[in-house]
Amino acid sequence: MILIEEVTKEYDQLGRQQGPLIAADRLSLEVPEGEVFGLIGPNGAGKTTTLKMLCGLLTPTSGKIIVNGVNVELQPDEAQKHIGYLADFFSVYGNLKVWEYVDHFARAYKLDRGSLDTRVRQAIAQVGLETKADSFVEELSRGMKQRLGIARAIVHDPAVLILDEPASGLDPKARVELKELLRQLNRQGKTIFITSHVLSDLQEICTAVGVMEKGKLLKAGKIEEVMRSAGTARRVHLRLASSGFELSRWLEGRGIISNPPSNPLSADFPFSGTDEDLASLIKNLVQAGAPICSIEEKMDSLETIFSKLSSGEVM
Amino acid sequence: MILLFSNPEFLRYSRSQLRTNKLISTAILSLALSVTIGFFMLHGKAESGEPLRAVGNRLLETSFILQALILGAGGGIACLNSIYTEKEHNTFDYQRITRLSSAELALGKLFGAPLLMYFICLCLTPLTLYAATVAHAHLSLVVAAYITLLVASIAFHAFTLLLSLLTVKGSQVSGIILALVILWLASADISHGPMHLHPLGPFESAELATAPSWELASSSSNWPTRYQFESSPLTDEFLGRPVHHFTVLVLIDLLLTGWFLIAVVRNIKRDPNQYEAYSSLQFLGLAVFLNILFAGFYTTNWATPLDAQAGFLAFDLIIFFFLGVALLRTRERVRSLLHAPGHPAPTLWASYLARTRFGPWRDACGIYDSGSIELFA
Repeated sequence: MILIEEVTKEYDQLGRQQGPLIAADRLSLEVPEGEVFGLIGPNGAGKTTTLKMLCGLLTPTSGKIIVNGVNVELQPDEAQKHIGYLADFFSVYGNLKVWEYVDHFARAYKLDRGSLDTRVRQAIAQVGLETKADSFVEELSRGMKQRLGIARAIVHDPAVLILDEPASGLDPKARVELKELLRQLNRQGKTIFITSHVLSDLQEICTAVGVMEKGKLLKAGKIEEVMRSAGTARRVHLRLASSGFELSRWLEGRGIISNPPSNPLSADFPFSGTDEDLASLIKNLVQAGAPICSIEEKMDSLETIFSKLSSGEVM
Repeated sequence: MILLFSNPEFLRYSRSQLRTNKLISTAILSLALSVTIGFFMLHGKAESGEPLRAVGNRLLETSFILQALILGAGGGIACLNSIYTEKEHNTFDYQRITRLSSAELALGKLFGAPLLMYFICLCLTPLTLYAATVAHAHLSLVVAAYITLLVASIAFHAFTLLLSLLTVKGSQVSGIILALVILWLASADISHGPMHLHPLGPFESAELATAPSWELASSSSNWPTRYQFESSPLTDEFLGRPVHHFTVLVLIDLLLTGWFLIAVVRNIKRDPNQYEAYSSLQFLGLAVFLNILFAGFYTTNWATPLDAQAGFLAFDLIIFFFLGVALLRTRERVRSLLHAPGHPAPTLWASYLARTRFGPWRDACGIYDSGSIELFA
């Protein structure tokens, strides 16, 4: 798990009269084990700085960061055992072969010599590059290079993966593959801390999110909680198989909708109750004889939530 | 500490630089170069009627200069590019978060980045051995010349590695120019000046290989006259005593390598905003080391003790200024140190202290005519 306590990162810059540049402002956050946590925010919000502090590349001006019980600043060597990091650019050694590249990092992470080859092969297989193991890295496509980057990040089997914009620059097919790979890694028990500009991608794979702007963490928590706190309610879409049931009147009678829907066979309405309330509503509808053939739950997108939070609409 | 040959960073360089195809083409080119140089020099001898031994000596000198150029300058540039290029390609961050220790990473780069240059030198060795045979050179001197070449090159590589670590984006060319200027300065003979110390650079290997014997100039009856000192390329003078230049060069270059490596190891895995070449104690140690060199090899008779003092102060002012600049690489660091209450940057105040403390004393002594002291005014 990841624990960030009151972390601040300041850059003292000559020529700036208004004081130091604050890239991260008293960030506090806890990401439980097995979570896929997405950090969202505009460019310059401090996401990359936060990630770099998490893996020990930058030293916080104040505060502390604990990854899997290890203080990253005080025990960097021990902390690196638990962290796999992927930056927001394709950074590979083009003049090495795929297996040599992964092998280099396996050795650099001081894996046991006896299991080194096996682990290298496993990491390459996990990202689906077995057939390219003997190819030069420079010959790989962008999507493959990104997968190779993930192989590098997981070669020492870290508990926490820190990924900075892993989907940037990838085509749609590669993005789908990447998402599937991340889900698979999460299923294996890895905690994933990820940033992305493609919020719909994050929405698909994240279990929790944090919204960051100008170095501050505006909101963080489970996606549903963040949405609720952002004042966004889920919407429910109902569809009947046949006519004969007065759906709109039934819903109006219970104060669920105020205006009758244009289509008598369907209804789309906001629902602010709990999951249990929704289950009860459906049960009552069925008992009342509604021939329900489809119930769809819709949620506001992360884009909507982000724009509400970042505009100060919800704080 | 992982042994060098199993050092992952060294292994990475050997895998990328020493691929069979590359090695074969490099070996063929080196062989062609050796044959061409050998042929033209021997052909020239036939026309000029120069003795074969003299031609062999020139060939030996040329081969060592060539190797010094390849290993020294070429290897230096490879080291200079090593960290800088990784920073440019953003692979350096990945190196920093591995479990390699700073020393392992630094040594892997120091010996790995110029690997191809070492191989080229190896390919030129037959030319050197042939030339040594023709010149009837002392085998021990040739071996000493190779040791000199190696040690001086490693010292220069360590310096360029440090430079590479400190070089910021967009200043690679400036870094290369600075490195080459330093290499040229290290190869310049300052023994004709007040320092009785021959060059410490890798090109000195050519002088050593072609020296007639190991004999020191001190064998002369009236040492230490300037004339005899200058006429002996193998003799330095330390605290008034003749010492063999080979010993001096190896010792000083090894110590310099150590000093450069300390700075590299101290910083290579750090947050770049936290770079600080040396700790206060290390900084003091380096200043003492440089003072010992200056005091030991500066053998001109001072006119007065005051002149000697002025000379040392001027020397230290330069050292403290440059080390101060090296300590304070980043603007953020400069500002935070200057603004730290009660802890102002000590080296930046060195010239201020020299002026305020030394100035009144100088006025009292009435020594306005000393050029060195005027530096403080």
